[in-house]
Amino acid sequence: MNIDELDIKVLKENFDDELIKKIDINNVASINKYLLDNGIYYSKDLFLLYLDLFLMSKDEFVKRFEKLKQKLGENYVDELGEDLSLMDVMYED
Amino acid sequence: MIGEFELNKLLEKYGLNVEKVLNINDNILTYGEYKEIYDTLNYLINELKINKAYIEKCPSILYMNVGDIKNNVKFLKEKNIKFSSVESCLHVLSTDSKQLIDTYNYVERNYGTKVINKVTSILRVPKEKIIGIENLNIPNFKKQDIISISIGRNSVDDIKKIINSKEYKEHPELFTSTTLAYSNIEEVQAIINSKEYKEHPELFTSTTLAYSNIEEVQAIINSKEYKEHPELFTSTTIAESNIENIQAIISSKEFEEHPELFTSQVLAKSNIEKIQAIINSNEFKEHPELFTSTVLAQSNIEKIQAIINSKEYKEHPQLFTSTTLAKSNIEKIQAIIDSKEFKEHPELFTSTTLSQSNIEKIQKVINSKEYKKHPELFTSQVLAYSNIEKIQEIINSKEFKDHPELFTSSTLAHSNIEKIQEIINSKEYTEHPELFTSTTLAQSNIEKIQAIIDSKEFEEHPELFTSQVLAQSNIEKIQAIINSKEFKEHPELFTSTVLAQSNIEKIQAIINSKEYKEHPELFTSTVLAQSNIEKIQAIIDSKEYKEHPELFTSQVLAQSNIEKIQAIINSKEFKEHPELFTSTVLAKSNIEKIQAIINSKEFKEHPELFTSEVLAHSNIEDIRLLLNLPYWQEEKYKRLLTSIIVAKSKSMLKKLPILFKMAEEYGIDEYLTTSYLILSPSQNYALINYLIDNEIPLITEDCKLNSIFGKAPNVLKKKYNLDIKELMIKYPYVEKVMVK
Repeated sequence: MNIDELDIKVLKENFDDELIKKIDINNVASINKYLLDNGIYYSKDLFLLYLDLFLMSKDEFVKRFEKLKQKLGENYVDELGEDLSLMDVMYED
Repeated sequence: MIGEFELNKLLEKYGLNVEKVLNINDNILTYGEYKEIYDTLNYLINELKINKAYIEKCPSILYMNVGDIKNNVKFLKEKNIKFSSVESCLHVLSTDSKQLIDTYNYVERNYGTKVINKVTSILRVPKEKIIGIENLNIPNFKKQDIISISIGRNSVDDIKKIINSKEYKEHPELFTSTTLAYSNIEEVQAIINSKEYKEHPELFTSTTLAYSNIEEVQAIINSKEYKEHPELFTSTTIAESNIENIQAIISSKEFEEHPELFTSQVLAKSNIEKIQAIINSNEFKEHPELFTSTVLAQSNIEKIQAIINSKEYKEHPQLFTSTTLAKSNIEKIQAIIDSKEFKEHPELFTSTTLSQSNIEKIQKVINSKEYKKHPELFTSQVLAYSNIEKIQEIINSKEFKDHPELFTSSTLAHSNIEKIQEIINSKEYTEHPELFTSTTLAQSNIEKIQAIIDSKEFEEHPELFTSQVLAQSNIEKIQAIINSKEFKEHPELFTSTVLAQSNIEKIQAIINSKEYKEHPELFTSTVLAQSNIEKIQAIIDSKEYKEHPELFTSQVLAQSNIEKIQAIINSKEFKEHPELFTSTVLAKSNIEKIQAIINSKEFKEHPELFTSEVLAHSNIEDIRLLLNLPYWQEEKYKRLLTSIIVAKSKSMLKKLPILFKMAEEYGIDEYLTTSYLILSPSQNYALINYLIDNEIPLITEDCKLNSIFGKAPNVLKKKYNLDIKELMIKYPYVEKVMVK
C-alpha cells in the first residue's frame, strides 16, 4: 500500500497522532492483503477512514469483516464501496 | 625513593588518597622521587586536567619521567586520539615513547585509527607481541580479537600453550579472546577435567576459565549454600565471587528478611557489608520502591544517600528510578539537572537519560548543527543511548541522504553507521527493499539479516517473512519454529507476527496444552504471538470462564489477563448492566475506564448512547468533550448523534466541528447524514466544490444530500471517473475554510 502526502493529510484530519503512532505496518499489510484478496480494491480508503479497525489483529479484523460480508451478501464489494457507513457493523461484537 | 610521610603530604596537596594509591601499587615508594612525582602530578592535574580517580587507579604513572609523559601526550594529540580514551587508561601515557610510537604506527596501518580510539590500551603493548599473536593464526578469531588478546596479561608463549592444548581442541567454545588473554593453561585444565565441570557444565563459561581457579570453583559448587539455593548460582557467580562472600550473604538477617532482593547478580557483584549498609539505611525504609536487586548488586550506600538526599531528587522525583540508583551518581545527575540544556529542553530528559548519559555527551548533542537541522530525530532515547560522533556519522552519510525514510530517532539511538552501511549496501537490501524499514536498521544487523534471507526457510515460506521478522527475530528461532512438528500440523496458526514475536518453547507449551485440545476455537495466530500458556491457563481455568464462556474469545486470550477480567466480571457495573459487556470490552478495556463511563453523569442522562461498542472503544474524557459540543442542542445535528459516533468520540472530536462549519458554509447543514461524517474535511471540501463548479446540486430534488458523500474515493475513481486526490489539489481546503 503506497501512502502519499495527500493520504497522510487525510489520515491526520481523521485521527490524532497518538492513534497514528500505533500503526503496525505488518499487521496493516496483512489486513490489506486479505481485503484485496476479497476484491476490496478500495482497501486503502478503508485504512485512511477506519484506521482504528486496522489496529485490531488480523484474526479479529477478518472475523468481523466476514460477518459484514455475510450481512451484505454476494454484492458486498459494491455495496460497501457505495456506502462506507456500512463499516459501522465492524464495531459490533 | 620516597618516604610514606612525604608521599602522603604531596598526594594530599593534590587531593589524592595515599591509601588507595599504595593499595594498588606500593612500588612508588621504591621507584618514586619527590621531584618527579611533584612534576608529574602538576602536569597531569593542572595542565591536562586528568580526573584524580584515574591517577589513583594507575600510580605507576607517578614515577615516570614527566618528559616521557609529555612526549606521549604530544604525539597522541598530534594523531587526534580522543583524550577521554587515554584518560581512563593512564598506563598508556607511562609507556616508553619510542615503543608507543612504533605500536601506534603498526596498529594504524594494519587495523585503523578507529581501533586505537576504541581500545587505547593497545598502545602500551609492544608491537612484537601483536605480530606474535597474529602469527599464531588462531582459527575463527577476527582481527578485533587479536587486539583484545594482545592487551591481556598472557604472553605469546602462554597463548601458544593454550591453543595447543587438548582442552582447547575439545571445547573451543570456552575459549574466547578473554580466555586467551588472561587464563592460565594449568588452571584451565584443572577446571575442565574436574568432576564439577562434568556435572555442571552450564556453570562454566570462558569468563570462569579466564578469571577463576579450581579450588574456588569446588568450594562454591560443593557448598551447602549451592545445594539449598541453586537458583542463585550462575556462571557469573562462580567466576566473580568466592565462597566466604557467598556464605556471609546467604546466612545474613538481610537475606532472610528480603529474599526477593537477592539474585545471582547480587551474589556475584556485592558483599555483605555493602548490602547491610543499604538495607539498614533510612533511605531503604523511606523509599523501598527504589531498591531492587540491581541496586544491591551495582551501587553502594554512599552513592545512594547522596542521590536521595539531594535537592535534585526532591525537585524532580519523577526522574529517579531504581535504575538511576543502580547506574548513576549524584555528580552526573547534578551536572545534568543544573544545565542550561535541561532548562531549555526538559522534554528530552527522562530517568533513562539520567541513568545512561552524562552532561558532556548531552551538551555536544543538543548544541550540534545536526540537532538544529533535524530536531525531529532527537528524542530522550537518542540523548540516553547515543553520542554526537555516532550521530554525525549517521546524519552526514550518503545513506541518510539517499534513504531518509529509513532513519528515525530509534536508528539514531540504537544503531551506528557501520551497521547501517552494511545493511543498505548489501545484496539483500537491493533484492528485497520491501523487507527493510527503519526498525530493521535500528534493531538488526547484516549478519542476522543474511542468515535469514539466505535460509532454506525463507526460500520455502517467503510469505512468512516481513520487515518485522527481520527486525525482531533471528534464524535460529525461525528455524526452530518452521521445522517443528507444531508448524507442520497447524500451519494456519503461524503468521509472520508469530515468527517475529514468539519462540518455539512458548508455542509448544500452548499447542500441546490441555486447554488447546479442549478449546481449539480460542486459539488463533494472535494468541500464539501475544500470549503465553500461563496467562491462558489462568483465564481458562478461572471461575469467570466457567460462568460466562460466551465472553471469552481468542481476542480476550490474546489481549487481556485474568486479573483484568476478574476485576471487570466481579464488578457492580457488570452485575447491573450485563448487556454492555461483550468479549471486546473484556479484551480492550479495563475496570477503571468502564466504571468512569458507567458512573458518569453523561451515562445517566443519555443511556441510549452507551452501548458495548462505546465501552470497548472510547473513554469518559473524550465522551464528555464530545457530548458537550454545542451542536447537539440543534435538532439538525442531534439526529446524527449515535452510539457509533460516541464510540469513535476521539476522532469525531477532531473533525466534527470542521465538518459542521463547512456544512453551514455551503448550506447543506439541514440535510446531513452520517455518511457526510465519514470522509475527512479536505475530501468533503473537494467534493462540495466539484459539485458546485459542475453545477451538480448538493441537495437532490427529493431533499436529500447528494449521494456522492460517503462513497469510497477509489469507487468514485473507478466507477464515476472522479479522482478525489486531483480535486483535493484543485480545491485545497485548509487556508480557504480557515480564512472564512
